[in-house]
Amino acid sequence: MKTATVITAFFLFTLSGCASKPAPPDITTAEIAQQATDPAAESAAAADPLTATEQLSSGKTTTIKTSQGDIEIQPTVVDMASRDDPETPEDEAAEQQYNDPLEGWNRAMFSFNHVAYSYALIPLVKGYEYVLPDVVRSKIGNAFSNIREPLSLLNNLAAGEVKDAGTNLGRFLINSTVGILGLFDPATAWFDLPPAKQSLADTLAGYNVSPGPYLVLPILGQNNVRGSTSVVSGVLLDPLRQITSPPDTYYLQGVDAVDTFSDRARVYEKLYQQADDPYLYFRNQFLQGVKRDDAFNKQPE
Amino acid sequence: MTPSTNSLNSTGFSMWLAQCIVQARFVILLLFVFLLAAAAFFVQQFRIDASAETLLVKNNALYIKTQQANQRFSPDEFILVAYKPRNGELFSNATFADLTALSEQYSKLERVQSVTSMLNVPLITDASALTTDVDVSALTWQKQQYSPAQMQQLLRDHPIFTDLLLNTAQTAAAIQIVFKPDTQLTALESDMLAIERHTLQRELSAEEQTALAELQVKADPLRQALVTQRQHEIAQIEQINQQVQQRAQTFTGGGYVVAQHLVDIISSDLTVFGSAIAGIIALLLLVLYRSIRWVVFPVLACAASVWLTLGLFAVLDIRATVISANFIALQLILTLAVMIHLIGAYRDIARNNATATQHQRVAMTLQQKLAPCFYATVTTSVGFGSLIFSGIQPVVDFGFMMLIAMLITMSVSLLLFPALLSLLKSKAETADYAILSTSLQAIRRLVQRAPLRTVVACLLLFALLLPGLARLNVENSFINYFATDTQVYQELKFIDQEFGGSTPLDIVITLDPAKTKPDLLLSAEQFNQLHVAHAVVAEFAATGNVTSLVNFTTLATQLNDGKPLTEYELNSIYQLLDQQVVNQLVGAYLTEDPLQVRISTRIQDTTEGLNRELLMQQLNQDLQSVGLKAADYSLTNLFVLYQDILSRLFDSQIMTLGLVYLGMAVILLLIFRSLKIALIALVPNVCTTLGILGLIGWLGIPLDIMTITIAAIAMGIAIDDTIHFVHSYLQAPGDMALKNAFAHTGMAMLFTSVVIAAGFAVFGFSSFLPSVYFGLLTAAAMIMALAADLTILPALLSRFVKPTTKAA
Repeated sequence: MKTATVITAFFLFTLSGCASKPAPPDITTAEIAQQATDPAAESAAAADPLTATEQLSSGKTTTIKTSQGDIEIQPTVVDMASRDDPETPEDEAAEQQYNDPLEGWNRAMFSFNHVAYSYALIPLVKGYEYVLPDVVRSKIGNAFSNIREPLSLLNNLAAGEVKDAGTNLGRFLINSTVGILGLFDPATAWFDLPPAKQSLADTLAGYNVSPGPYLVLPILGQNNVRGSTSVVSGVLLDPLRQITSPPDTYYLQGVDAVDTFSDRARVYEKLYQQADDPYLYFRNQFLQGVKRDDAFNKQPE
Repeated sequence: MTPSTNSLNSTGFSMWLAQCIVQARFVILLLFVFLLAAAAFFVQQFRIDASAETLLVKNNALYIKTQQANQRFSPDEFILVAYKPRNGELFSNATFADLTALSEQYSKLERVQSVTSMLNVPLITDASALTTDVDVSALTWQKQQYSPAQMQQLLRDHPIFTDLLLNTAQTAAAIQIVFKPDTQLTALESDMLAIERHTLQRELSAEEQTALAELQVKADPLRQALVTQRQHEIAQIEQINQQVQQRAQTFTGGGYVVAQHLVDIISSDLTVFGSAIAGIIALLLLVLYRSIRWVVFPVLACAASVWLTLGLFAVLDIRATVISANFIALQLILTLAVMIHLIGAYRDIARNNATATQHQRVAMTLQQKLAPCFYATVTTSVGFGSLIFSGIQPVVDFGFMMLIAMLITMSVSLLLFPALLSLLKSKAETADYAILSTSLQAIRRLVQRAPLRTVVACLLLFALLLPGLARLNVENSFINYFATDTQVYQELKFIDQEFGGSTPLDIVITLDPAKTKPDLLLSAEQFNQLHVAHAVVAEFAATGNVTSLVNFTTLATQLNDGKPLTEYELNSIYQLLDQQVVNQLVGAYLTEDPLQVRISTRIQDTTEGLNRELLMQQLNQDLQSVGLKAADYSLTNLFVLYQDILSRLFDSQIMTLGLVYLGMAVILLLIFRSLKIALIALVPNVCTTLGILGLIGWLGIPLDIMTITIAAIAMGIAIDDTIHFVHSYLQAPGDMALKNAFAHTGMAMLFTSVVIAAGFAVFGFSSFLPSVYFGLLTAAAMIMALAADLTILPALLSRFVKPTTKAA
């Protein structure tokens, strides 16, 4: 089931996180060592105030003065780069923006995943799509979302979001009964109870747990350390395990994975093809998204 | 005959010429019959070209840049039909049914590519639709059958569709009818542009010019066909709209709808006012001369000159435009003016020499009037000719047209008309109205008694008009070309106010290539450069609908719970969208190599107190204050081109008027061989032209490409009377001079002025405001000129010039 924040749904896992802090100092890479000796970093000069363009790009609302009066502009496209210190050289700024000390491991995993996706998962998904019509697939997607509703309930409770937890409960009860085991979504359609999805990562982010470095997991794909907890907990605490027993559980989890991936297979292929360095493309997109979500989810509505 | 070989005093030459004309009458007649017959072959090819293009100055950098921008971004050609339910409920099943029915019928029209309304655009409720495999095109009312309430909610303050497919107040919806481009024509135009763009740097070579001319010849029939096709389409659309009239009001608008209305108005003006003026002229002639022959022959001669002119224009492929569409009426009036002087002289001679044969009478008339009539037409030509130096292409073309028309008028009235006249039987002429001649003589006595006081009094009257000069302004727009009570105006105004404005203005920004990031179409910094510029443009009260990529990202942000897109997500969306969708949605706003973005807006011409020059100035200033260098962006499209013309109007007005004064001074000097007389003859005309400009200022009529021609033309026509009067004054012995001039020429002046003024005044009935102003103001100029010629001129002459021994 797609969520309202689905811009990030390009990715194999869309998990929100906190603003990433600069790389933990204990992980030293060749690049960081190189930058420490960069003399430009030391030189300090009076900083020019950021231009409106730069403020918007950093995700800040800006005000410009024109002949027609002052205009406040909300950002609609951001790169979330920190421009607070204009003296930071560009490559160092990029380093801070894209916290990736595990690049060696990540690149290897990314290549492995690409082979796995191209020769296994995507053909599987195409077969799945070929066999099952669109309508049926959407119902199956609904059912799996419904099953995961209790997990969101727990996370919402843990995060103190009692109202959202109530929504999870209501949705689960309604969709499991009236919605025939979650195949339909009358909670949204008739009872005006939209999804209130919450993952462990969201909950951790709520407690200001920093996202940690970028991490690509085998098959499961890109994430950060904080986000990976959701993936693991999602598998371990999967309500499917409570209502079925192996090997049925594995079959169902497999169908779930294929179903989840089916939405994104075409997206993945297309974006992979258009990028010069797909690894950087997916990584940067993911990290910018995490930063953006962090900055904007915290803002009072 | 040329001015250098002739002067008013060389009566021997005039006599010889007059004899020649009378003797060669059959040759002349035969020649004209032949020419008229030849013209008949071509007249059918005569064309009117009233496209907005004809109002523009071409071959300048702004025009070529606009063409280039249009080529790069290739925006769609469309018509908007606004639908406003009479019961006020826009969101209802009745409205949806009507919009569906209308759309379906529009889409059956031949050239229609697509029909867009709020019913068939995707209304996205969440951002996932943009990024996953969801079929966006399924999220429309047509597929989903949203309820009226849902539609209202989905479309409230929509970043893309508000002001385009429905108005902000949600009281009216618009249907956008998009037409297929003519691929052949587009290809030709791009070939032409490829040549024309060189003019930005250098002159075109001979080969390039030939190539360009060849392309023009190929493109022309396609353009003509397109104009006819569009006319047909608009008629069909309006017919389709009739079906919903009981439930709703409909308004049709969009770029070339205005142009088509102009074509309609101009074609009808051309025939209606052409014939109305012919009728009025005939009637006036009948009243003034009380004789059938003085109606039939002048009207015949007028018709002949118009016919020949039409034929010649057809051969030369000169087309009537919005500005020059009045040429038929103008030519009728001007031909007649010459003939009235000839007729006046003839009647005078006939009354004084009752025994003379017809040939003698005609020869004497010609001998007396050939020179002044020739000079009079020359001065009128100079008036029109000065327009050639206006620097505004449509006005330049108009000047050329009238110059050609004047040549024909001259040959018709000085060759054909006397030849016809010499075929008539001589008979006694009626006397002129006694009341007119006595009042003229009364004026003469007044002038003679107190010349200086008359001059001062008249000058004071004119001085009252002069402060108006300071009030002249150049604010104008297409909409204001139509009278406010016309249907066209109402429709245009509604679209202007409710659906995002009328005159298109584009801001094309070249994004800083240094800010490009690998793999990304647009980096955030590049995009935000666009965003601040967009915000600047949208903030102006006069900018209506403002569209750029920002509208799409604003929508995406809204759908994404107020969270902006990241630059990578933006790129991903762009990559994931179907190529066709990209071209449709984004193609008009973004091009690569070089990376340029376009902000498209329409200026609301009905905005209260709109000052276009200030708007351009502030816009430039604001764009630069948000970090764009002047080289990074260009303002293009019709608004800029019109503004460019408007900004030249003052210069043009001064230029043309200055040239007219200079040209007239030279001609007067050549005719009268006296600086003093030449200067005196200029005074009443300078008074008239400045007076009429002052009047335009007082009345608050904006200068536009039509009204700036009034002063020069009025001077060209009015100076004829001055020449006739001074000529007549110089012919008589000293003490009789003034009396002679008033008696012989005064009547003809009165007649011509009245006929011309009445003729021009007919334009007051046009629904095309520039024609109305042009007609009424030229009429006013004629009356002013007559007053000046009968007061200031004789007063100055009698005070400073004593024609003693001239009557040898």
